[in-house]
Amino acid sequence: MTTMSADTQTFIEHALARSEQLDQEQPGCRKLREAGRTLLGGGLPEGRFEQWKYTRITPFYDPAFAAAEAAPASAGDKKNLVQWPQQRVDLQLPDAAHNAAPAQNLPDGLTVVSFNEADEQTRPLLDQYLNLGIDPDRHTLNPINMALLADGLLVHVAADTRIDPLLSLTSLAGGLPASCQRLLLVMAPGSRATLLEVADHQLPRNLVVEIHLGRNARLDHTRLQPASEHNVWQLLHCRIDAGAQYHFNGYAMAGTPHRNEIHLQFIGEQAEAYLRGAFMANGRGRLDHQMCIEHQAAHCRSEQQFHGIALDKSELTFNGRIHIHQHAQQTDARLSNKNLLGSDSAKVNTKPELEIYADDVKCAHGATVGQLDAEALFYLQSRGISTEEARRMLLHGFVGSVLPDDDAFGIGDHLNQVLDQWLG
Amino acid sequence: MLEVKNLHASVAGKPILNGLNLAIPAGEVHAVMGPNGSGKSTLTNVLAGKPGYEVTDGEVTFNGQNLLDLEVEDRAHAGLFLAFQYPTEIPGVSNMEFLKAAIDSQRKAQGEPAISAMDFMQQARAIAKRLDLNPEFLKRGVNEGFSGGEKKRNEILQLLMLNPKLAILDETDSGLDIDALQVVSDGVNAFRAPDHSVLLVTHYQRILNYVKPDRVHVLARGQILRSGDASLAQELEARGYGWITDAA
Repeated sequence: MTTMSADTQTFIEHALARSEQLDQEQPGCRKLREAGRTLLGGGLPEGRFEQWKYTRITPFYDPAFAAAEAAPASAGDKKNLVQWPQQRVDLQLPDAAHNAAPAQNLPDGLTVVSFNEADEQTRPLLDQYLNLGIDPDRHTLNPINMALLADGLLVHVAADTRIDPLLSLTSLAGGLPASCQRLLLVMAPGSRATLLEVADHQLPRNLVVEIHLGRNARLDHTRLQPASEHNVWQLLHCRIDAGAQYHFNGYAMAGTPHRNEIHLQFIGEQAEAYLRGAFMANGRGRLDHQMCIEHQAAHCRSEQQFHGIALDKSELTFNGRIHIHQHAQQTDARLSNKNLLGSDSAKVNTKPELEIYADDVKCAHGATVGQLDAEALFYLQSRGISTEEARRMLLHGFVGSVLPDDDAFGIGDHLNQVLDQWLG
Repeated sequence: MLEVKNLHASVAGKPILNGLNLAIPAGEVHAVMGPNGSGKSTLTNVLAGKPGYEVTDGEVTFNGQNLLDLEVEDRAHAGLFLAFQYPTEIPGVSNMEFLKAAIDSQRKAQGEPAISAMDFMQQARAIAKRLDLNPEFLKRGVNEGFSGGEKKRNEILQLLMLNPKLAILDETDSGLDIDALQVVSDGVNAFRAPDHSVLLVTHYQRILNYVKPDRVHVLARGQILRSGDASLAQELEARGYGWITDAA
């Protein structure tokens, strides 16, 4: 990459130096960092290319990630964005400024340990699963996370164990000018858990969540990502083994810019994934959502339903890729992405992308971009509901139709409040 | 209550209503019948104020007010209700939330406070029961996944909850089986009152066996070509429309 700009070269130099410094301070993630340094040493892409067609990549090469100085850490402020259930296990992602809070009163079968504190029981899990299956060419910002990770969190659910309390994952604010964080969740065969992730980014962040679902495991994962004024890149990488089920509900509000990459790999037969969510942007917010489902095993099913709302001068990008490998026969893959434009200046880029190499599959995809349904608007108005109120109700309804089935955490109320605030 | 004089209206530049006259006094049920393409739905949509329907001439007075000057929601506040031929599905908005918002917006327009949640639920449950609708139905998305019959019953549920002055029923009977027709007709009859009027637009005489009209009008080529009492509907059933439209 001889054409890299001086800024990017400097960023890489600083990142490499900081990464080596971390080896001295935090020896726990050395192997991952070494691998990250190797990738970073090969350079970082710039300019616009297919995967980064609508979002500029270079702002994510933020020198703040390579800075060593720490700011005072603020307390773990659990904002009431959602209704937290009483029965829960609080998980906090460590970084260079925060140690993993000691997880207390863990239920049987649940192990929580920071990468740096992994012992002979847990280290083999890191060796086996950390960064497993993540394609550096597709997730170009993962090497930054790898090289600059001070510490991460490993959560393991033992085989055939059902964890009843909610696993609640939050990120601490402050302490650093920017932070890299990483969660590795390994669900052993037959295990079951529920994860609620509030990704409230109050600083530039590079976050990787890795999930490994063993045979017949089930994870219900809800993610709420409030708007933030910082560059945020998130990768959610999930490997799904035979018979396992992954249910994801993700709700993100735009930032400046935010890029979410979600990559699912079906690695065993008869597994299922159901993904649903909403993306909303206002002002000049930018949200780039890259979805990739890789069907590498036969008889699996994936269903995706995502709704986007772009108001004001905001811009949403949705790229929904479904890749069905040659031996993934009898795959059933569906993708729907519907978008509403709330103003003439808002923009939505949506692209379903199918790559199918098996000859006996069912695959359906659809993407729409439009205004509020005039018929529905008229129907509400004909009942005496004002234009403004009708518009508000239709937007709520558009989001409401992709909420979690029971919406136990009150995500819908939160999203509606945000929308009402945006609509003024 | 409603007076339509020399109404001309077009859709996408094409004239559909060509000098329509109609007067419905308070307390009466008027049926408007007519062949396909005669302008029946255009009439109901023009009265409700649907965008895309352009009134080119004539006037419509509703309880002394110029109806055509009012916004869609203000027509509802003035007491006009349209039961849709094809009720719109609104996923994600529950029937309950929708109904309460509708009632509250109308109460607000009358300067009344919002209905209490308890009163609302009591009324909604009682009316749902009368229309043979499972109360769970109130929690579902507006018309979402409803059968044709459920959608029509949902329109009648709204009619009875909102209690307007004039109900315009746009082919509410079409697509209903005998039992559903009976239930819907009972709902319309329950609405009948000295200060309530009904404009019932239909293809078939069938519903008029259950809802007895005071007047029957034949709409064809954008005009009312003939008016009569309930016996006109039976004559239409026996003879079709040809003898009226050919004579005109």
